Amino acid sequence: MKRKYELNPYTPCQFADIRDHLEAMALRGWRLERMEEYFLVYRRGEPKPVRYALVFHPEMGYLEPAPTPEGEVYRDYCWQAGWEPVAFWSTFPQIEVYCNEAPHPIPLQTDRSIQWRVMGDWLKRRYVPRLQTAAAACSLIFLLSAIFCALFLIATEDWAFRILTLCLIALLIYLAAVPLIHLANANRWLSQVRRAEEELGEGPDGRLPPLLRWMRKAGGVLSAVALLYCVWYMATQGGGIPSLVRSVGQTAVLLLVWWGMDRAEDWLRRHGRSQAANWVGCGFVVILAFFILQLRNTLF
Amino acid sequence: MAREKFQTLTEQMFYILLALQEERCGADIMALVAQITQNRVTIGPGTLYNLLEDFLSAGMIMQTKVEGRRRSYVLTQQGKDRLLMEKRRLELMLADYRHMTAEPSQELRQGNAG
Repeated sequence: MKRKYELNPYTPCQFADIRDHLEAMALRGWRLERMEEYFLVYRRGEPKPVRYALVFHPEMGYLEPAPTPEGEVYRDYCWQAGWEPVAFWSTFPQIEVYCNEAPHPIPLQTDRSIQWRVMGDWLKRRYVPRLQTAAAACSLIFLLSAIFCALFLIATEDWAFRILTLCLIALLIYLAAVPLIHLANANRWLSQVRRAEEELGEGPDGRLPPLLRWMRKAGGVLSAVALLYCVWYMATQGGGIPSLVRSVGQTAVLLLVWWGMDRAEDWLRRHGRSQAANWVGCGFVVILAFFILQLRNTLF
Repeated sequence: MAREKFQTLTEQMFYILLALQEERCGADIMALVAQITQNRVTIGPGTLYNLLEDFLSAGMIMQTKVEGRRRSYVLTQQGKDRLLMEKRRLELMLADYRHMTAEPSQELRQGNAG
């Protein structure tokens, strides 16, 4: 079966952007099969209008086998209305994508205040705490790394290396700022949802805010510049092509291991017997990933 | 200030409680409400699921049967009382409307016609 892989640039606040994109892809004959951390995976199908919707299950745990018994009941009601489950989002397993091929289907939620309440519960119980942890950890790690790089900047006289260090510092500061901005956006989203639930406002529009859109572009440009400079530096100053190949190989293994861990978590959710057993399984996957990364250093 | 849940019932809440005067499977409620209201009121599957969970937590309905994915519910006495309260509220509203617009009541119109 023909498949198409597309980079997944979306965040959960873009529920309307995601819906519109999937519907546009369905019109072109690509039906969503999986929603992963870095990729949207499609399979070839007949080009036709298909309605998509995102469903939030705030009661579901991160590694809980999916669908849960409550999720099965939810699916039964959805099937009655012609909605079929497509996939869980592996990064945010409480988010499930549904589709409906009817021309004017009954919406999944016909009561807006309930829609906002469920979304608000998910934000408060699952998304915001996770972002708080990520923001605290990433900010600390990346800022400390930036300070460490700054020491190299001061210590060296080599201008090419100084520019490389500056590029890395800029990238690390950007990476430290990203989770903080996402956390601020999530809190803003939660506040909009709570106001909408009390019928005091319209509710979030499900699109990427202009600040995040600008940030994404700036991050892309910054990453591309830093990467190109790193490649140039390694090829010309840092040990030549062998050094470059070694670095590319190590990075490729790191990305493959990260992707593999995401797929392993998805497998555990689909085939695991309980959340506790899945966490144990996840522990083994982390240990295996650690050994592969150690092996990477030997191979490259 | 937060509106108290179930202080006034929305149309969808009202019709779900109405449908559960008899024991019914959750999945059948959507079709029944569409039939009663001639498609004027539609209940989405997500809304149905969430409202049934809310009514269950509030003690207004109880689960009577579980057959795999299909669960059946029926009104409790609390649910019946709430439905009756809503019916009375709607009747009072209708009476106030007729009074303010000087619209004759149905019985008076039928009497005049006869």
